[in-house]
Amino acid sequence: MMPYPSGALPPGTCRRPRARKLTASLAQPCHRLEQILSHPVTRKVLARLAAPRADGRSLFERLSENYDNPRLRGWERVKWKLPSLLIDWGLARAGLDKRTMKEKLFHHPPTVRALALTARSIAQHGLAEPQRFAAPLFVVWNITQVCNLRCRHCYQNAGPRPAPDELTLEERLRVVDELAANGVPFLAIAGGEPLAIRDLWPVLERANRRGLHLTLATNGTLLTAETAARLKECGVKYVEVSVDSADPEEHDAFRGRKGAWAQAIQGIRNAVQAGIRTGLAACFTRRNVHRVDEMVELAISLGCQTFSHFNFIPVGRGRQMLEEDLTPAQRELLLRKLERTLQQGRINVISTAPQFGRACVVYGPQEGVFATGHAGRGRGSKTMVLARYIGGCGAGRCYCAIQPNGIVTPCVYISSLAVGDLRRQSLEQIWNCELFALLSDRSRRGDHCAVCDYQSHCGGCRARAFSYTGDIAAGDPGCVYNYPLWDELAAEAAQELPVLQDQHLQARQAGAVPLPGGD
Amino acid sequence: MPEACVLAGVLAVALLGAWLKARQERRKVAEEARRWRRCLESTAYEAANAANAIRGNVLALRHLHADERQLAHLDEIEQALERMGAALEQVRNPGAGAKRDAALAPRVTAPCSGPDLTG
Repeated sequence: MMPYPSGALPPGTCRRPRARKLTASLAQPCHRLEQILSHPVTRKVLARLAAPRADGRSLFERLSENYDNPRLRGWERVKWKLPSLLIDWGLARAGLDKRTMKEKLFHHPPTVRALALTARSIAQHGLAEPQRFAAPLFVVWNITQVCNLRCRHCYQNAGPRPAPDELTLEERLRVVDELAANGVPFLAIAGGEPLAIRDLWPVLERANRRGLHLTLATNGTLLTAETAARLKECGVKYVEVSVDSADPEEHDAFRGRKGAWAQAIQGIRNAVQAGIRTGLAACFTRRNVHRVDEMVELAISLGCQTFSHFNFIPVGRGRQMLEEDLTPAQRELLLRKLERTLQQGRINVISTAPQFGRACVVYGPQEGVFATGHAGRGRGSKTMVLARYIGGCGAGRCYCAIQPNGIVTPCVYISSLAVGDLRRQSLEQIWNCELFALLSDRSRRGDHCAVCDYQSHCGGCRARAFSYTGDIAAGDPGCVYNYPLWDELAAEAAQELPVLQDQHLQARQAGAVPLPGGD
Repeated sequence: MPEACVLAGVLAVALLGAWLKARQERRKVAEEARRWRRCLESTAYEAANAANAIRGNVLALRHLHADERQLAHLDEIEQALERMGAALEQVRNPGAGAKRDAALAPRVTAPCSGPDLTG
């Protein structure tokens, strides 16, 4: 861990200069709602609507719960009648279907919570591109260091034994309460392998009771039919299983255990059969990037609703396979392919690469499908407007990670940078730190990320910038518009790491270039 | 007196007619301008994205062992993209016409950096 004094920035931050702008200026579509939401009066109204009351819930949450609620009796029914009628009128004017809105918005607690948090964020920070949130919209919790596999690229460096200072069950339940009290709507449980620990179940039950939208990332080897059914019972809405190749041997070699592929595939089948939304997550390196089409087909054939691309970041054990990281050119082609798959509409495609949002804008049609963030998507220019506010890298802005010992970091891939400890501090204290303010302000970046016309949609991957340069505000060396930075890093690597240089030269002679600096 | 009233009435009707016609014309022109503006914005949006897609791929191509002759063509594409970028800036910010002209002028007359095809 690299702790640093509260309110300060990590050493070496913000030292990269801005680059010359390479992109042509974009005429961004606007929406009337933007003017309304940025008005000072609206901010005041939102602040009142989103402020937590004595019972911990905001007026907005109570309004949503009581909207058209047939269980209300007597005075309560009369009291909420007028607001319900006003909402009905608003929906009719906007041409929205009342039943759908009731099911998917007003009576869906995580969505209500997300909207309440958004209202609170606009009230607190104003309408900003991208939007800085008053609390995390989405938290990824690496609940344990324990894993039954030994994957080559593991960012967590997980293994068979838990970390010595992992949270106890009681502390884990307190973390869930802390997240719920701060109005966090979405929680993803990852690891290690979350299914390998017994504490998972009480944590899931508590989180479900507290109204959190739950998702789970697993290697799938322990995802039996019974486990899948239990996950469904515990309110898990989405399960993501990691599969890195359509070829079992390739996957097993990558994951460090024979038979892992077959178990993961069976795990996906079990989750689909249990009726949970299921995703196939693939991490692409130079070894398997040519298999992207096969992988998408595999996901579709297994009945997955989502294909999830994990952007390989050389951290943890992945540091040892730095030379397998995609070049910016390879990543660009990969994202183009994924964007095309998303437009085809056969399967939902999400990516942890913030450039995916930019790729959807650059390559997709104006009324096509856009990725709005790491997990969202939508069609048309209205979605594109939304993507400007919530799109791109969310680290420290709308998302953070919790490590197995309760340490909070900006992202799962930046586990070496501790910003707070949930054992000793509240989430609110941690969230309002200087580093997260820096990460939320995309104009305070280096290289091309500082001047890029797609800044609102992307912002560059902070984990990759930090991993390669040691500067969390540097440009993302994985983006084609940052090729000068990539070249600079390749030259440094060639000087400092003669072993890599030799590999580079050998590969060049063999016709392939597997190191930073070429394809 | 009645003639004066009739005359005033006719005049009023004629004025009203002229005003209505002018208003209709104004609305038509405004609608036409709105349509052109939408069209221009949409075209600029598509063109900017296409230019940026080309730019990204040119940058990628430069790193794929492009030889001397190919590099000259890539230079030409990049210069053309700069011109497109300046023209698109004009759409975004129509007031910056002089700036745009200044930016465009030297590029239009810049000598070709590609292979010499005259001989």
